[in-house]
Amino acid sequence: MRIRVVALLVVALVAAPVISLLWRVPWSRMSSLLTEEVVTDAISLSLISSVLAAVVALTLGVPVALLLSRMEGVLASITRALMMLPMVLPPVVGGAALLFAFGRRGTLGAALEEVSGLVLPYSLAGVVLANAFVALPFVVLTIEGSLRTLDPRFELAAASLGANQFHTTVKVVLPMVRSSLIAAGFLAWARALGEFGATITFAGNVPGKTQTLPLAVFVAMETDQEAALVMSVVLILVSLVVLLTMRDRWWPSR
Amino acid sequence: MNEINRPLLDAHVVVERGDLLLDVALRVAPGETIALMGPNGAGKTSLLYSLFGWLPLRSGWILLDGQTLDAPGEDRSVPPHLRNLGMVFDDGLLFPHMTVGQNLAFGSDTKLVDPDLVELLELAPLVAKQIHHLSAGQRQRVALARTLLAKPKMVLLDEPLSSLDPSARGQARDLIKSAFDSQLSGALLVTHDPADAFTLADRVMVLENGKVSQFDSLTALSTQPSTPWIASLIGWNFFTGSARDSIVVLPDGIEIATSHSGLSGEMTVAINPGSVSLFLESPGGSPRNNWRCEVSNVQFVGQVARVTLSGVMQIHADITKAAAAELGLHQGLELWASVKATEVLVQGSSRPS
Amino acid sequence: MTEFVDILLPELTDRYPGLQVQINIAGSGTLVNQIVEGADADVVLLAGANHMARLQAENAFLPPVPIARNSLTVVVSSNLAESVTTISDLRDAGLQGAVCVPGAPCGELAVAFARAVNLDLSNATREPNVKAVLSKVVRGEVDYGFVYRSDALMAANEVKAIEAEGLDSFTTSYSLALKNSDEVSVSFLEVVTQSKVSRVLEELGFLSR
Repeated sequence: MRIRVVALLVVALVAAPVISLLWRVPWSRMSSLLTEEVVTDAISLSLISSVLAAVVALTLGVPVALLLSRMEGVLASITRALMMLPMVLPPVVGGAALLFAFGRRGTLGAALEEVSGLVLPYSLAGVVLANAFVALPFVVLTIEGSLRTLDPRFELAAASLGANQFHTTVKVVLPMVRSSLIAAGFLAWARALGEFGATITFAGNVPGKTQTLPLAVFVAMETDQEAALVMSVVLILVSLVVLLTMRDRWWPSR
Repeated sequence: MNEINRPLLDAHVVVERGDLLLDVALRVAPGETIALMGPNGAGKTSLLYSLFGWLPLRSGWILLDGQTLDAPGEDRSVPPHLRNLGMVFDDGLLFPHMTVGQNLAFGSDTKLVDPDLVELLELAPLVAKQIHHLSAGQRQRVALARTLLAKPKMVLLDEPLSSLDPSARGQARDLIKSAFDSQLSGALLVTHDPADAFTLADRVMVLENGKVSQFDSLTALSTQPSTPWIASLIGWNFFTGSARDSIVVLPDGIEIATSHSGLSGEMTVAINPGSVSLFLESPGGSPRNNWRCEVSNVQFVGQVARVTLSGVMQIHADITKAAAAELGLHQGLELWASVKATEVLVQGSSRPS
Repeated sequence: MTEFVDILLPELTDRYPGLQVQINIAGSGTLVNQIVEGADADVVLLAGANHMARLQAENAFLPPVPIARNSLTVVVSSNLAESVTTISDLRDAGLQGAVCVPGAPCGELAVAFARAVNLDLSNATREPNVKAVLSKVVRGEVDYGFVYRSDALMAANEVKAIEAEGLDSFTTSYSLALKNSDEVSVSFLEVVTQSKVSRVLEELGFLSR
């Protein structure tokens, strides 16, 4: 009984800020604000970049998860800790680190600009890179976890039927952890959608190019709070829809 | 090299795994099935995994059909998927995200599944099914078929029948036997059940603590066990006689009824002492396989009483201590020994050994 | 203004030994938001008249006192010091610019100036504050940035300021408001408005009030 009371209080504690925010939303201005160019740009940019980031994080995360799930010992722990860093680091630090590597004066970024003329900061590619960077740990963690619960003899069985490692991975291993791939994709997408610090630090804040919803909210908080509230509502709604959609995959349903 | 006398598998496997040092030399002739028995932790599964390349050899070699799979001295090792070795696991290990048909087609290059094998293993009605709709016995049949369809040079089976309940075992064993007879070039079968060894294998290799303690026919193991473990495992009754349809007639005229039909020639039958029932009065029902005997010796091993009977039929029976007390067993007591025809295992001695 | 406060604060703590001063540094818009939403402050120092006006509308602070002014400047990264010397050089489409976010006074000044000289800033990144703009230029992450004269002076070794007619007429003012006229607050006002402070401000690149 007491536990129930405490639990309800905690739920209320989480719900209170969200409800207070909704309370302040200028519903009468909703439609006119939602059609402002800055807002529509931010919404579409956020949707595009977060989906791309999830795809990139998934593509990069799967090989790492496969590798880690087969490694043991100190080297595995070090590699795993390294892969988890972007999850623990303040995103701003992650963004700064990205800047030092892939920025215009960064070790790799300068070379990249020299060779291909490609500049990652202030571009959609930069947003996707920053978002994928912070989302990658969620992908690796989720997929490695379920790979480790997979009976390794399935790989043996596939090999005994003549399948090489790539064939085994694509036809047997990955399909068998399919639900965790989906969960990892959703998690990465959700993390990317809410990403702020790494994005503004690395990709900058160019309206229509790198100004995602969280960045637009940040700017609007100082200029037009009502616009900020409207964009926050969009973020809350999208997040809730996704959380409800993936609930059966993320925690066991009854 | 003499192609005809060349063994299918010629291996000397030395593997370290924790405290266990596995050191086994093994030759398997083409078409031969070897049963691998031994206490838990003796290294049976480790032997299979090392043949498969899943465990690295510390020293030794593995030659399959003349091809070098492993020779640490020569610093080369064929990766598992190129070894042409099939593997059947105790729980089948079918891929759960595929249908039966997709599982069957996984290892074979062609989409066409061998119709003979499908018929033999009664798989036709299962092909479109999802794995989780299969019974344990069906899974094992699919697993066996999946492995055989990949046309391996040799099959390694890790307790393939252990997940089946006793009633399904006999049937599955018969199916495996017919599949082996028609399809197989050689097999290594890990089992705990002497019945598997007797029915399916030509020879039995017993591993204890990583070493081979005996490598011979099951009858030889039974009559001359080299270690206490073998003696305790195999107190089986073996009889040789000439078969006539469902009956095996022993030289002294005793008839043993089996559940098979169409038998002929010289046959060996095996009877598990646990399958021999003892009665003070003549049991009713089937008149076959009831023999009037006399108790010549009673030995107690744990909760089991091993009764040695003589008279018309020389046979061992294992009964519980409680049952022994109820019968009032003592030397010289006359009673009836009874064995169901379905409990009589048959092996033709015409198979190569 | 951070440096300015850092220089003058010891004078206040000398007068009141044991005085604990808590400083919350943020953009002016954010500061006003925080105060409006209930953050506690005895003294507030803001850039830009509009933010101060918003604060005054809340009637929670005493009328503001002007402290200093700052004028808009364009700085270019050191490797472009030779090639980019005028405002029209900035119109090169390949150059990446940085300005403050629209809510910050430095951002509003930059946008106003750009409109006046017909400079397209739509591709410039909007940085949270003027320090972020400056550091991007210093590190070469952007080619040019709109900052304050004081910032350009502070980073004179690492960036080059562009001279342009009329830039110095785009100024913003810093003003200070007290919540109460208690002794310590008034002392702080005295410290930051004493006559010798104008020299400190000048050295830092600010304009006098």
